[in-house]
Amino acid sequence: MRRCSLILMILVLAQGFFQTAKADDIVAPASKRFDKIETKAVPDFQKHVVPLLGRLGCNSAKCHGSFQGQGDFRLSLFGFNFQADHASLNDADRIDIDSPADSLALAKPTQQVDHEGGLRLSVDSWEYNLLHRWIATGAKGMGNVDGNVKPQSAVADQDLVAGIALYEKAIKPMFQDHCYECHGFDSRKGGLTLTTRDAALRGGESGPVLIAKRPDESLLMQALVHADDNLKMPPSGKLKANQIADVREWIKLGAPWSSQFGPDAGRNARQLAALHCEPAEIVFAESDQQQIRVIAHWDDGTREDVTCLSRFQTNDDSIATVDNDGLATSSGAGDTHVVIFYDNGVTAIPVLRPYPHSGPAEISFSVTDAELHPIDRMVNAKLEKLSLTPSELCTDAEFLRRVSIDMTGTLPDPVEIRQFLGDSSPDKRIRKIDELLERPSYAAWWANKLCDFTGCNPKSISSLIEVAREEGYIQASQWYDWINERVMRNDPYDRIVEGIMLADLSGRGDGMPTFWTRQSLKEPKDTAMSVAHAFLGIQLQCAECHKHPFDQWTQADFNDFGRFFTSVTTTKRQSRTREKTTLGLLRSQTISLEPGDDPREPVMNWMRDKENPWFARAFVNRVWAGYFHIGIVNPPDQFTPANPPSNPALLQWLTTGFVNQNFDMKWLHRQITNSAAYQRSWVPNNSNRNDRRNYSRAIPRRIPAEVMYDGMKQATASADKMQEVRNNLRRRASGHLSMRMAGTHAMKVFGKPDRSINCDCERVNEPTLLQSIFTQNDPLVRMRVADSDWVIDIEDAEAAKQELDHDSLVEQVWLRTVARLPNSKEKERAKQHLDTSDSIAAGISDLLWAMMNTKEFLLNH
Amino acid sequence: MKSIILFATLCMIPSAGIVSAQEKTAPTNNNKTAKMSDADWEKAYEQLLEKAPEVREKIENGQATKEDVIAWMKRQKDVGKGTIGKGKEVSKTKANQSAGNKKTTGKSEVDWEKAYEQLLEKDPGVREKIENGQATKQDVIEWMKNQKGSGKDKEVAGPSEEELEKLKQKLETMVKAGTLSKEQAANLLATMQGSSKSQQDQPKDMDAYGEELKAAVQSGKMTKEQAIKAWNQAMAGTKNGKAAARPAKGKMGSKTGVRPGAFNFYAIVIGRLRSKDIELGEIEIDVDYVISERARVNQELIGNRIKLVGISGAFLDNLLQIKRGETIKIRTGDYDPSKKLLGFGYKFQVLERTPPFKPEDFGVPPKDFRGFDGQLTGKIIESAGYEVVMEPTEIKPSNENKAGQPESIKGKRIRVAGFYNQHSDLYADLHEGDTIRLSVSHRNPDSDSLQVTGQLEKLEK
Repeated sequence: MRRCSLILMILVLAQGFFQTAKADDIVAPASKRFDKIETKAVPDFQKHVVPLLGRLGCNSAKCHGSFQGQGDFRLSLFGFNFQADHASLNDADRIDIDSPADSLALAKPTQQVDHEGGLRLSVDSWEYNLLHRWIATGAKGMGNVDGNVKPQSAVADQDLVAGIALYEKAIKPMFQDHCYECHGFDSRKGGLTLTTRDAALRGGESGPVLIAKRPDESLLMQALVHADDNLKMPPSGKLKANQIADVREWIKLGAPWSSQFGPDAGRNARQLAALHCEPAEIVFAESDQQQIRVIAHWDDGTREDVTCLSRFQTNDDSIATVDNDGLATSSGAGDTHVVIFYDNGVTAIPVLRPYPHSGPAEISFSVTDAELHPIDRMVNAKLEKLSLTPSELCTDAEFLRRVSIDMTGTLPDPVEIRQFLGDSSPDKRIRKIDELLERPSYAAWWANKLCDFTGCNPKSISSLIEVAREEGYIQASQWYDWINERVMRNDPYDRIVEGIMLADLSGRGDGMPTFWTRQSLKEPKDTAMSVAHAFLGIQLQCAECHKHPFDQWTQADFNDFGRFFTSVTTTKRQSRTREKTTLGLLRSQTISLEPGDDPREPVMNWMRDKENPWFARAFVNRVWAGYFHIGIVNPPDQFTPANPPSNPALLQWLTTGFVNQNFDMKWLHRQITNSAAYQRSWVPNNSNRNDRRNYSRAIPRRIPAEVMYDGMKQATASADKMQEVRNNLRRRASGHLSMRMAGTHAMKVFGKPDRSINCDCERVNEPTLLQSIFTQNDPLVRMRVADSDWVIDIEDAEAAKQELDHDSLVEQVWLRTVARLPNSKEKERAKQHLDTSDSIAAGISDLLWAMMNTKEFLLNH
Repeated sequence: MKSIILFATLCMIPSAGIVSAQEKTAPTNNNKTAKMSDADWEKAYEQLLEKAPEVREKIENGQATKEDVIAWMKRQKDVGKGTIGKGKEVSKTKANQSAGNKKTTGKSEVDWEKAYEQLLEKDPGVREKIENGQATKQDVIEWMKNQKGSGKDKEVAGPSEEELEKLKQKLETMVKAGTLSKEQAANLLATMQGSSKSQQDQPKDMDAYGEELKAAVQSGKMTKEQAIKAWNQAMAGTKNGKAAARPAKGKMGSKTGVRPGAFNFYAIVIGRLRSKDIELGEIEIDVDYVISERARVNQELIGNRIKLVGISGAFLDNLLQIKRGETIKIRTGDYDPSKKLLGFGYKFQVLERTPPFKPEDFGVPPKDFRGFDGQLTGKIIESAGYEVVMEPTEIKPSNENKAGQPESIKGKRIRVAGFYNQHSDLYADLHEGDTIRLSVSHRNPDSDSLQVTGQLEKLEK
């Protein structure tokens, strides 16, 4: 016993020792190291100065981060172009190394000099000290902190001095004004960047552009003097003669580069390996507070507490708020994330506060029950954390209507409903799910969704003139049919995507080339954004102009990804690399392409790789969102570190299963719909009334536009035409009409997406007043009711003096619209109306109209 | 490179298409004093895009710019003024000779009358010229004869035997040197010969051939220039009647989206709605009146029940609100005479309910006014689509006038068309209620609209 205590004591002490040792490894926060102006610490431009400027708001879009900058001072938006930012800071007396306090960079934000942006820091603050110290120690940029820039050995000292002076005076401004837009830090047109000497000497796709000391042989000179008609630079017009002469002289001097843009500058950009937060998760009790600590891990192994240099934001301030120093405060029950930004890192930590117990749990649930569906185990685990009690299972009628709409985009028909309700076998829901998955309407509905994601828009396929001649609709329908056929035979998802991604653009083969040949993809960047959205669930567009604010993507990442699609976008006839090139594939790997290679192939191979972080995940999440109206990552097409999944384990389990099942879409649908989480009632209990994102109950949502249209048609169809209405894809809004009817009033009002932008948000499922007006008196609704074949059949029967069973007719109205039988009160009231109507047909017509205007009809619940 | 692509593209345009587009866009070509303004060239460019889908595709793909195309058209026009004129003479002579040769070889005589009818049916541009009086039947037949002659000339004008022999030797050398495979050499030779049986019998897969040439260039087996030449020749071969594997991109091809058998027919059709299908976007109308320059088609449609297809999007909402029996006014885009099928035209976006048709509201000229030539002054009632409907108040017949009672139009409405080219700028400034004075001619008395000629002025209100 004593021995055990001793061991325990040693362990405790050891733990304390290791914690100290670990803590000692971490560089203290800048706020402590620079709390005195006399500090000997030297700030790092990348690690400290730029993040500080970001935290102070200097490089935000409203201030110097805007495209025009402010007051002739421009910083890169969100501060990721270190070289350019350093150059800007060093311009126009902003920095005075001899007298740091007189630097504009300090005088302005402290309002010692008039500053439109107001007071950003006080003179006695650690922020001031940090900037002051940085200036006092030489205001060095990247690569200079350790004094590791050496003179170019190839250049004689005398030439070096003269060359650098000339570079500073004439060449650098010329590069900035005329070249960097295309060959700068964020753009490498033709594979060329002029940001470093090495890069210029290396050149681009046309070879080296600079040959030191040999101006006449340098491609740069040839381009500047417009010697070759095909190579005239800059494109905006020839430079002045003296500028060209300067360049010639500079090359003669060996083309030396000054230290700020020295050859090591880019190389020495440190890579942030990880951004860790302590604690990793915050669980609040009541109105609690928690300080967040942020540790940056750099690729050289150093770690630093960067809490004071990080930016913080909350994804839902009704649950938690966070101040500038990382102090999180609980503001309500529920769960959200606090997002932390530092350098290129974005990370988020879950923050949750359990819901208060307002009474005993209505039903018991478990997270360990082995019989539970894995989905339910993971969902329930989260519910338990939040003290949420899930709602009971929904009724059979609710289940049938819900699963029919979600899985097949179709209302169940009266015969089917009666059969299902009359079936007492315990596995009837499982069998119904299997049955629905075999229906053509399942393929039709999910083909429609895949058309949404991939942008199957007839107007974007061809030019306007061609649309006028039906070409767009024909091709869009072919696109739809192509997907529909494959979903119907349950081709693996990755193979369907492969058929699109690697389609032969001539139309030969088994692929679907229209994704690439549509006219709306005018530039490779359009295609890159479309591919990223359609198959990866990520939005790249921000990185087109600046570093993505909520993700890791830089302009260089964006441009590289776009280059994979240059050939396919510009020719629309082939996808072939013309020249040997190396491209970065969204920070995951570098791809070398040889002439003649199809650059789409490595992209496809990478996407379908098991380790790909987005491809399978994005699809799984979209399917989940289709059933729950909210994604595990929501919005479903915004996979960013700032928008983490609400239940990471659940998303991981589904993704792994989906990949291991060889991308079997039906497996995925089956898993989701068989879970208790999907089959829960919409009726809330005391604990889960306010929960909308943890699947503790079903959230009633408005039926999609296509289902509304097809549903009204089905509700008014005669019995003998019911199956034709349900199955004829040419005349279903979830079939071919999804193309032809796009842009009609009905589809607009109910939020059908045009498929013209890369955003799942194009589909709007929110209820609006206009929708109520539409269902009440739109000509389409009036036409449906007036021309109802079923009502006409009743009219004929009345005319033929046939006996009509009012009970049965009323039940039919309910089954056709809300997929359940009326209760006694409803039935009584409806029969009263029939009795007082001019005719049974007129009465039924009224009832149909009334039921199609109920919330119950318009909602999937 | 751009110019090569453009040239290659333009080479692929059916010559009739270009002739038609150019004649249509530059009707003053024959007038030595007339000079086309930038606006005219813009218009000509637009019309060429309409007529030549290949050009449009290049523009849309960024392989050529508008400026490139206009520059090319200008060059063509310049050539037309100079050497082409002579060229035509030469061509004519050759054509006559070859026609003579034909007779001696005992081949069947071409039925020019029938060919003329077929051309009218197939080429609305030509029919338009006939209907507008801009060309006569004889002109067209003469032109067709020349075309046929030119076609023969093209074959005759191919590489000579000597040149072919040289090429053969060169290719053999290349094969021996391993820079070309036997198959490639044979293909190139066949392409140069132009009439090789294998080419005639087998459609060439131009995409595959393109890839083949590219591979040859990339591997250094051919120079870029050789490949381009071979490609152009292969394309010429394909255009000369050999079917390509890809669907034809010509105006009757599927690429442009015109339904097979249909031709462009931009018209306003007014009729009573008989049936509608708001899901498939199809209607049937009893046609009361058609506004178009194709009198023959107009007559074919008026009084008949015609199906119109291709309505979609927001136009379905309009259709939803028009009841059966009501009069509908709709813009068409194409017409298939064999199926009596109209296609909806998006261009000016017209699908609306309209009051029942009355000829006088639409400017249909009374019988006694048909054949009028002279000057009209009056107020504009409607101005759209390079046409106006006006109410003449002053009528001054010219010596060319053939109308029985020109004054019969006073106080009524008349439609005047053709406000292109030199009138386009002023036309853009014309609005309802303006008073204009203009010279007009009703050359084709079957047509329901007059053509504006030289004079157009807007009078002070």
